[in-house]
Amino acid sequence: MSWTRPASEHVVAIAAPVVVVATLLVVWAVNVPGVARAQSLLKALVPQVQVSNGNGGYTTQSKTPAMELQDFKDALTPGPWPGTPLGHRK
Amino acid sequence: MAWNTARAQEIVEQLLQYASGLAASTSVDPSVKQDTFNVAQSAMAALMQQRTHDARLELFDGAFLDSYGKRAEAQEILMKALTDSPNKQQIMFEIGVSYLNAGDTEKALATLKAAFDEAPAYNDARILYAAGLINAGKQAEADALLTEGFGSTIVDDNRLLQVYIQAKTI
Repeated sequence: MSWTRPASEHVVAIAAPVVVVATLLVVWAVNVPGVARAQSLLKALVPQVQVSNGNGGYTTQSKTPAMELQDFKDALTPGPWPGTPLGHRK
Repeated sequence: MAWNTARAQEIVEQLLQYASGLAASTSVDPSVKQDTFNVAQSAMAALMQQRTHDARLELFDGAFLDSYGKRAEAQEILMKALTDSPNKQQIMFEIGVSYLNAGDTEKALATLKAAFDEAPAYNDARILYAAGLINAGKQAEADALLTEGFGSTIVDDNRLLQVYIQAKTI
């Protein structure tokens, strides 16, 4: 049968990049939306925020309730990509 | 605003817990508190519309509404949760606490007793029922319940401490 025969170098040369790109796209599509969702939730749950200390460095300060609410709003705002079930529930 | 709740149950639940914690705070700007309530409520409403008869969501929503003093709405949604998940102790606890918060001691005790009777070996059920009894001024019954379960009337539990302080019995 045709699929049991070794592919020619020409076919491999065409198919290999397609397979690599398709694999990367699938890995990205499956994982990245969930990771992004987790990051946005984590940002909302952390009670501190990094701010510039004026000397080129950073220091942490407590978030105000308004800042915390904004982080939750950001986490709930639909992203540019369709979601996956990853991160749906802990 | 339409929130992306279809894939974000965890975010909505965390938001409701955050908003519930904010409810009792006196130092937060009332407009921020109201905005937080509105966002949390609309996000949960959107999620519940997609997931009808989900007792977990209804329990979260009921506890959230109760923390903002919306007792009638809270009890209504908690009763729905109990219908969707009958005899679930966690839901019965929340209903009992809501009745206590509303000052309806009779219904609170009936609910907390029912929760306790479901699984008397579960310490939380015993403690919450005892807390209800102390709140109702039935100290002797509460003492008997605590002694039966823990061998003493002195049990290290914040909920009991809180109800003793409220009842001014210590």
